[in-house]
Amino acid sequence: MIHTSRASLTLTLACFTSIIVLTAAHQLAKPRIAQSELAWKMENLRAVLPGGHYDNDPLSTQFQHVEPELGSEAPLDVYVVFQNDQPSAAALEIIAGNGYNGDIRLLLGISYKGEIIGVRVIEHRETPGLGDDIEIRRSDWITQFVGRSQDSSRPTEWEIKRNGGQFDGITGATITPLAIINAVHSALIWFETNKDKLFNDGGFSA
Amino acid sequence: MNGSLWARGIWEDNPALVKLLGLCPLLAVSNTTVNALALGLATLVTLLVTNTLVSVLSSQLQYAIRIPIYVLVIATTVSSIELAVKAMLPALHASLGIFLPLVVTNCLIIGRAEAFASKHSWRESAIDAAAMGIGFLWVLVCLGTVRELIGQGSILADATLLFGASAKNWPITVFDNEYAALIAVLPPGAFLALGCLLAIRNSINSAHKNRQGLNDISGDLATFNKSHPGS
Repeated sequence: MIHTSRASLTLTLACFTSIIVLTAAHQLAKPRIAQSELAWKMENLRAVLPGGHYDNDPLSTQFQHVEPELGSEAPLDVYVVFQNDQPSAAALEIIAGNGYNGDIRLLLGISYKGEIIGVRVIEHRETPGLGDDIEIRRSDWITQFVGRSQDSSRPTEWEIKRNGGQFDGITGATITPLAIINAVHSALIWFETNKDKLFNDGGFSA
Repeated sequence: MNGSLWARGIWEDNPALVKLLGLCPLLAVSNTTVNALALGLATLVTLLVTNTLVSVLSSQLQYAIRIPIYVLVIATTVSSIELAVKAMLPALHASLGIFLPLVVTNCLIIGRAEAFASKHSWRESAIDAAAMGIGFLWVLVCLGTVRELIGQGSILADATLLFGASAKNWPITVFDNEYAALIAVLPPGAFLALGCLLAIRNSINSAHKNRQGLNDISGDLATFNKSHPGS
């Protein structure tokens, strides 16, 4: 009996100690983590929505919504930006779900007219040395989307060149580029039909 | 005693090459030198902290609850390290992904806590942790370098993840990506590379043993000849 109560006392004490240690560590690290996450977000946002297109802070008109057509059942970030109160462009977080190894999370900047301003890969687990050429710090593959719109290529041309499409492939990786091309294309289609709703009564005004 | 602790951790009882502990992270994260180095260092630090703590605590612990306490100590240490990496090196944190928190489940760590730290002084436990950690680290880095070189044709790619902007010029491209053998960076390559490393270790060991064996035999012969001058 004494044994048991002493054991449970020791365990309780140990649990409390680790709770205190972890809470302290979390409190210490939290501001730095938030800061670096924000910096990463801003870096990508600036890449897909370069300055000059808008005069409001994208973070102030950010909202989240669930849109299965953009690749996820989970809430995704949307940023809409305005110039002189006129809709200017939007950045959509989209997910290419059929990569070689899990989801590829992308940020897509589209002008109100439906032209792509920029695409960046935010998160992926593609094969290092092959599929990761989709990252901007490895190759400029991802920049070929700039300037394209739904009209610039016929639906069948949203393919890699080897399959008769308009896009450069990546040597040794077929699935990865295709996943991104398809995700971007379906996001463009979604944007076209939903953009007015997005800019007029997006979640941020509600 | 201390000298042999080092030798055991780094070579004789090397956790990765002899005990074959912690193979999951070893194989999964050894696709580049930088990843391997980062995970190896994280494991080393975890091992140092947990081994020392366990050794200090073990005299106070009842036998029945020692394992839950070890797990608690290990989990707390790893979570703190993960928070620190996430705060200071977010890009590296993203690159290591799930394998950083999974250091918790590396059986090397709880293995050393139970098999060594609970029975030895904190000094010896710290040395044991350092030796085992370094033993794990060097094998991990070896695998990472070989796999990266064969599979990507580069050395130290993405060094900036770990060393910051000053490491920008460190990566060396040895040959073009197109001529690289992809299999080396894929999971099967990990097993192949580890297998080769094990084979090399075994052949070094058996060569060593043979030499010792020969010395023993010639020694025996000499004594035999001395004691039987006629034969």
